[in-house]
Amino acid sequence: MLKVDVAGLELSPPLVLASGILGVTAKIMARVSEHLGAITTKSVGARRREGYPNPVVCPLPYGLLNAMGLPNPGIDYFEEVIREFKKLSKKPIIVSVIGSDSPEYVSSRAEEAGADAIELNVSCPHAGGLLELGMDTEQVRRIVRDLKSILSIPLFVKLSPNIQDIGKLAETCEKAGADGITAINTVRAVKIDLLSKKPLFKSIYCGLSGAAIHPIAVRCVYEIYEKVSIPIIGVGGVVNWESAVELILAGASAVGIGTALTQDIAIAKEIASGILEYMRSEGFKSVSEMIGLAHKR
Amino acid sequence: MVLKKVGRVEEATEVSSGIYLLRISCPLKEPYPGQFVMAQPPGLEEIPLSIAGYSGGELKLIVAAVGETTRALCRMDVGDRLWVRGPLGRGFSYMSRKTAVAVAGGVGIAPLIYLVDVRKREGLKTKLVAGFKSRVGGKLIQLLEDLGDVVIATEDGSIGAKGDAVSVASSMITRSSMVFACGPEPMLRKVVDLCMSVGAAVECSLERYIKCGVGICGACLIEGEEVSMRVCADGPVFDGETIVKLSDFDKLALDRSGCKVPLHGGCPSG
Repeated sequence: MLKVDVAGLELSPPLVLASGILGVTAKIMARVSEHLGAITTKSVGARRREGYPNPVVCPLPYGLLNAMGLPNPGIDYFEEVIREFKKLSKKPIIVSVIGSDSPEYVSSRAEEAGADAIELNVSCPHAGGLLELGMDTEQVRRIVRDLKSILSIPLFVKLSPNIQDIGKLAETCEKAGADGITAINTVRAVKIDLLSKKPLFKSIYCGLSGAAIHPIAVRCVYEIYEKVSIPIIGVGGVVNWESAVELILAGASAVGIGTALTQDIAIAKEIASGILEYMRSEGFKSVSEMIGLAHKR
Repeated sequence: MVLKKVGRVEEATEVSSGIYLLRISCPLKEPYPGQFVMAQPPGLEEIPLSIAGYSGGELKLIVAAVGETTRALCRMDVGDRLWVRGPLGRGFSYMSRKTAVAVAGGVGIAPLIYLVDVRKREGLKTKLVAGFKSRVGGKLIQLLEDLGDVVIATEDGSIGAKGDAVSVASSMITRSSMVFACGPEPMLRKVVDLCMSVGAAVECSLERYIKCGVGICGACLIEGEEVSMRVCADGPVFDGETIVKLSDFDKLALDRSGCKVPLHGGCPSG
């Protein structure tokens, strides 16, 4: 009942580990994947990056601020991680690729290593110039086209809520050949440290995730669903089954989980059983019957 | 998630050469022995530190001044303020009714001071063996002796018993012991091996570079063939049965990019 097809990936339950969350080693991804339909790795580039120095997070009563700074060992190292994951788990692995660091090279290496899909990150709000890249429609169109010309696995594009018209950009991605949209990345934010009287994070900017951004994610997914027919992975502030179902009704085929893992690394289990219970009580026989029901069409 | 709080330095005393006791007033949720805090002097790095004491809204930390941030922490004056996020992680089974032996190596003493203190408050006895390379300051010795049943050991025999903490503790550890340990990993390996051979229960507090402190960034993973543990959220305290499965233990750690490298080594790709 919880099985869903997302751009050819079979997800059961329709829950995905969001990028940036624990996607570091094959073993931790395998551990987390147990209760999820798929996992997304941390964003990987051609070159190794250490990320920003601590502090990299700041918990808030309504969410979490982070500025990790895209730490990753580079694809030459990471392809082994992908290979090892494929041996440990049967779940699909979506490799997140940094849009500004040789995405064609990184994506093709990831595909060779066994990635089931690529997620193009053009939306990190605090590192790699990705937010600016994600606002440049022409650039995004070009990268998506280039990637599609070399990849035979599905390509998702992860979009930022920090842009003028997310529906329009999603439409551009679809026309350029993208197989799916992931929305949203974190919401660009700034935190001022009351003791130092300066921005808390070295990068000045950070990203807000968690419960606070859920209505923004629902809005974005709703707008994207109006504009495209490719599937959407809805991400942002999913902390329980209710927030997951809301994204599905708004148009998401599957739902990403990230910050909620701070409560419980196995929270997906609870969310999946909540979705199932909702489906039973509302008379749904499959997840696909619920997708985008909030729309009039 | 635990929010950051402002702490106020009440005391920063050098108790031994380069080792400081910090008393910080900062009301926290009552920590369990073995838990840690993320501490950040304004404008500097946020770093993980074991809780060395907590009572009545006052937090105690034992800090070795070894890097920029720890030096800044140790130089703080009374009245200075800092950020404190915690308590975080999972602590020791501190209420164990078995014959308890705490084995510390160097500043690994910090969480064990709190453990012994809390057990004492609960009416439970603990033998503490505190090992150091060489002679330590009188204030630190005093602080340890105030805890009760303490044996100090130095590798060069300059004070206390001669030898490392594990060899000195070995005569106290039996099949009915509960051993709590914290220190460098080669020392912890000896503790675990000893306890396993004797049949004693053992728990060790492990250390890795912690970033988020809430179990989602993956910076502090320690792993074995079939196990992957987040030091910040599944630990920092792990039992002997888990530790023997961690092939990374005393061997490998993730560097800041997420590349697994020899403990205290560099990334081959960097």
